Amino acid sequence: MRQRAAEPAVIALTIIACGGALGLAGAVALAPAAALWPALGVAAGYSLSGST
Amino acid sequence: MLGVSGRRSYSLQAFALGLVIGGVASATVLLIVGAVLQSVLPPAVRWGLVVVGLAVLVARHLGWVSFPMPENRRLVPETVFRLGRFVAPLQFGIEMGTGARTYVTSNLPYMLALMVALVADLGGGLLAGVGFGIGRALMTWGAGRMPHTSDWHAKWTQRSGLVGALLMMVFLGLSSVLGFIAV
Repeated sequence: MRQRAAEPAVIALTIIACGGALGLAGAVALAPAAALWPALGVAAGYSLSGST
Repeated sequence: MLGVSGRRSYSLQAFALGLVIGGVASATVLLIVGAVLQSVLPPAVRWGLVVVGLAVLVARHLGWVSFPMPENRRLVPETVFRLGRFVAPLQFGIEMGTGARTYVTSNLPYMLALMVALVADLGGGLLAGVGFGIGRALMTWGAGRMPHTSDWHAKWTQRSGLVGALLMMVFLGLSSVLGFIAV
């Protein structure tokens, strides 16, 4: 079965949506900062997707 | 380059595991260095350095300034995946996960390293390392869902400006929230 393609930009937008949700939660409810660190890591790691 | 086809998924899982381990390893090193800095610099000074550092790196991203950053200027040989199905991709994943295996084509890893060293606590720093590995693994997942591995790289090249800008914005946004929470 052919898998649905995942565009780099779509993945980036997904990261942004998740990160935005975490950021909003942090800003509104002062959620533990620990929730934001992995989102920062994902953004930084994904940004290197062109370097293999 | 990386690609997925049925039987290779085992190797790619090992690769992804290695990426996370590598990310945590780099974060640990940064935390150790950062522990020294954090013991002598008050939080306001450390956050001030983060703001200045991020501003400089954003200017570098935009091309307003140009200066070299430390990176391993070597390409990755494709033969690395001929060495075995688990240990080789695991080892290679660890190397790639550290962010020190090959070229660094984005400013965000430097931003993350700066923040981990200067303002992260132990848990936050390690979680950032885990996230870094997961973020790197997303590329293998995305490439595997393309008909051909080269399709990913073609699309990445085509969209890299947009993706880079979006990731930069979310990174700065989340960093601002972290700073707001800390201060």
